[in-house]
Amino acid sequence: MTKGNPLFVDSTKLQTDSIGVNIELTNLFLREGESAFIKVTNEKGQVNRTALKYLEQDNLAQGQLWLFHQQKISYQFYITKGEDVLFTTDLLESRASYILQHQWQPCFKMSSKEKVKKAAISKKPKNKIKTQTKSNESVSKGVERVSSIMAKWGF
Amino acid sequence: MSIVSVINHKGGVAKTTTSINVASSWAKMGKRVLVVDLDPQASATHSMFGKEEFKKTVFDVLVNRVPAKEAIVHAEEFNVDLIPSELLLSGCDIQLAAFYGRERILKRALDEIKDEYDVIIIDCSPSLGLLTVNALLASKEIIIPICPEYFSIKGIELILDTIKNIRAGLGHKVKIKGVIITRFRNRKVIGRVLEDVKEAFNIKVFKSYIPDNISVEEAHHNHLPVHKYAPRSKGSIAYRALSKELLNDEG
Ligand SMILES: Nc1ncnc2c1ncn2[C@@H]1O[C@H](COP(=O)(O)OP(=O)(O)O)[C@@H](O)[C@H]1O
Ligand SMILES: [Mg+2]
Repeated sequence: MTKGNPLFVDSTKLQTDSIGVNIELTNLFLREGESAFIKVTNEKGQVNRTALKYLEQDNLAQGQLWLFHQQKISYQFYITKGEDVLFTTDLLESRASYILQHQWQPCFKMSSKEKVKKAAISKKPKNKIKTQTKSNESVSKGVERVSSIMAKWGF
Repeated sequence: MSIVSVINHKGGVAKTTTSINVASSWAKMGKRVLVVDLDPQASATHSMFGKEEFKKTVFDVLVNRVPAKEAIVHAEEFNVDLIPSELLLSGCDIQLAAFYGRERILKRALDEIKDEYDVIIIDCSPSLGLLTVNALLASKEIIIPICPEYFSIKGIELILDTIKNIRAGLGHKVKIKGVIITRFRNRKVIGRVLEDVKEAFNIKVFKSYIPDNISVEEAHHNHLPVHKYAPRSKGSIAYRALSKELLNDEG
């Protein structure tokens, strides 16, 4: 998408006007129980979230947010199941226009925050049986997740 | 009522020829048709009127805010109305750039007269600038003429990108009515184009292909629609079939 090509900037809108931004996450295949949402952060750090409606026949998830015209935003799509975040996209950047379209592609990089968390967990002493079983549980969950990723993306 | 832009960023693919001949065929079928010449080279205007000059043109409509009604002339031989163009239009991007609502000037101008027509055809210039953006914002749909002998995937991609940007940046959705094969010399070449257009882009290709035909060129120099200049020529028959096909294609 063009980043502010003046030819395609609405001259009747000011940067302080809010516009209804149609959000489209394309090429998406959701399984039962999974849902998609988007998190948008604007220049001032204000966060907006909305669930996207999945249209199975179009492999598309859709939603709408009101954002300031042409304001810089960063955004990220999430695929969730219940409480769990299964996948996210990279953190993406754009300017708010009438459509925010992204072709689904999961991100496999860990954010530095997550890395720190993981590191902290692995440093914990292993002598408590309870945590041991817990971590075993999360390992098997993790394996399940990885194999579901592999099945989903054909790795 | 529909407003159609004939668009391709390439020159010489028969945008103008298709606009004026289809317009005239539709008029012959009883439709009230207006052609808007939006190309600074004014080939639609010259093709219909020769060297005649006009007091008011599409330049005045866009830059001087003259009501479209005042710029309309009737092309007797084609039996269609025309908003003529002139070379001055080539510099209008700079003048328009400062206008509030610069991308919807044509749309607003046509809104005032569109009820008087069944179809409005906009003959676009090959460049991508505010003129073309104005054409697209005024249009519900576009048709893309393609010359199979020098067809390029890149050309189609450029048009699709433009449509996407119009939707994202300006909130207007334009429908791609389809691709028209023009000036073909060799049927074999068409097959390849069909595959590319249909498979790569999922765009409809109209079945009435227009052959390269000397009568089409001669009609242009004689300021006549081909159906009048040489009614039985291959070019005339093809344009008539295409005009019917386009009219019947609703959706
Ligand atoms: N089917 C055809 N057979 C022969 N000549 C054609 C045909 N279609 C267009 N031409 C000629 O090709 C030239 C370019 O066509 P034109 O319609 O002006 O293209 P564009 O508007 O895309 O630049 C013109 O001289 C026109 O008369
Ligand atoms: Mg032309």
